[in-house]
Amino acid sequence: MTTEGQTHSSRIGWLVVIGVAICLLVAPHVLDRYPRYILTEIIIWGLFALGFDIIFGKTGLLNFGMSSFFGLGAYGFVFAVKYVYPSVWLGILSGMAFAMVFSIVVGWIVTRFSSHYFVVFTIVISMILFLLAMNLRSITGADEGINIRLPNLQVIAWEFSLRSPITKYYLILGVAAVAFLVVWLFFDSPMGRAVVAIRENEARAQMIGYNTAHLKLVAYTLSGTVAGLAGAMYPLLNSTTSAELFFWILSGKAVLWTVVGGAGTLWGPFLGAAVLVSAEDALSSWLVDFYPILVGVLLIAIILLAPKGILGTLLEWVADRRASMEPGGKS
Amino acid sequence: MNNDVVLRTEQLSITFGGLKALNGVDFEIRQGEVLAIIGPNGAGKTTFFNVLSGNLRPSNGRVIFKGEDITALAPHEICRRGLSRTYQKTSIFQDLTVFENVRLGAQIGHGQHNSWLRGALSDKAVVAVVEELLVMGGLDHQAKQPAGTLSHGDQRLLEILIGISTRPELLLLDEPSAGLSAKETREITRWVKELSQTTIRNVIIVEHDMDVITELASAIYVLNYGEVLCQGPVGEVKCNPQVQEIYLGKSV
Repeated sequence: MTTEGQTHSSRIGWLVVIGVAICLLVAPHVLDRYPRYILTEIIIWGLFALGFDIIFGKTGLLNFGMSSFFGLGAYGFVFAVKYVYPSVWLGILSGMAFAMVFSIVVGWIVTRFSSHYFVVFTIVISMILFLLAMNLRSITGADEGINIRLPNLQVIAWEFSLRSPITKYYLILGVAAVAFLVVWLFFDSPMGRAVVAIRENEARAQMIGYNTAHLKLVAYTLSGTVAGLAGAMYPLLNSTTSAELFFWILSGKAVLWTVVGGAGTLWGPFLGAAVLVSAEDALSSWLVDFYPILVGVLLIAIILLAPKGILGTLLEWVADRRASMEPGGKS
Repeated sequence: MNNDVVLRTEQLSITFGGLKALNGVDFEIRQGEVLAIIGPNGAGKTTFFNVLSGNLRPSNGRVIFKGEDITALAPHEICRRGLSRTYQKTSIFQDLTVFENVRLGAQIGHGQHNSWLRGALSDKAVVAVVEELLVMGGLDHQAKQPAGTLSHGDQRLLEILIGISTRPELLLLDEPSAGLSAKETREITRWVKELSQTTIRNVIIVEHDMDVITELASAIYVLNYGEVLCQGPVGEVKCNPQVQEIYLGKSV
């Protein structure tokens, strides 16, 4: 019945995945310094937007305060490396832990509110955090931030210098790949699929036995931790962090990247970040004033023409074609 | 107390503003019974279901399910104790596949809802149950479609399949025939009857269609203005002149 068409398109899917993986592995050796930097940044932004996709695309909650997690992840990394012990791994764990603890505490409160209140609450909390970070200059360095010296990267018995941008690239790519895999597997598990049921119909999910408040908190925490992990990658790439990472504009960008790429697809955020960050980079140099307008036009076009984002629309098109090819399927 | 009683309510009351939607309802269903609840629009039938399933907290009275007071429990806790319901207005997971709709309930029935270290499809027992249910409902050929693309009749069937996928001991059916054609109504009635004789033996059904009730239920509760007007075997209640006047009209 469907098996033949399905193996065919899943084979294409695997080919795409392998192709992208090869490109990503080869890229740092092919690209120049600057595009390589942009690509590294795209991976970080994609991972950050993945965090947003978990809570928005999969759970159906619009969290407009994602920048808090990113900022906490960045500061978690910097504090650990600078004041505790100079280890990259400790920094990464600390960044995740900062974001995780914050997301559990805040999530416990905000997931009790229904949609509109939830959105407002997430904005307000991220604003408060931004103001705190800007005003506690002695701790955060405010808009000047904190600069750090990156320690060498220890992998079992080997030691790598992080002065090499290529080493940084592979480290960041590796971390993002592992995080992506964990998130992917979570949404294939019974619990992850129950989270998606909340997005679809929360009342019914409760009625068939799901503790949706609990599941929302789990999703919120996973989302925040992933975004925090992305935040920890920021000082790893730039050797600095700043209170401006808490600013709401960054939350808005996560929304934009995810919606443009395809919410709920998990790959979409990376695609959206790739498209918009490279477009921003290419266009803003000679279209400084018009760039935001262009992004606005693009967003409206996406919402009108491809409301499920680039990847979502593509996947839907493939599914439709499959259904129409299959005898007895919908035409 | 009688062990035979599956669910019992004592003096159940709920007030919305000044309106008494339920007023001192005493209700009881025993093992193996299929009971119907009828009454005019606004009589409190769906409200009664909402209280039983935990969607609404009563202002007064208690709900006892299998000897346990479940009045203050949340819907998911009540469901996990074995009470499941369907909705009058179809409430399914529109964008998920038909298979996934039923699987979500089935994994609750198998206590799998909190596991996250394995693939959802790796539990063969859950998959087998889902496939069995889909065959039973005749939806096995549409298993991979998004539930929202099903016809209204099939969505009504799916609604019930989701309801029984959690393996309940007591099923509340809220107007299973709502919006169905005469033919579809006959089919779904036959299907529910078979269900009540095999898998789910305790059913409370809210329904407008007297033919459906006569076919399925052994006894009726008549609700009117939130109160139990009368109760008894179907034949008896149908002949009650008071019931005929308020609800059935003179034609029956």
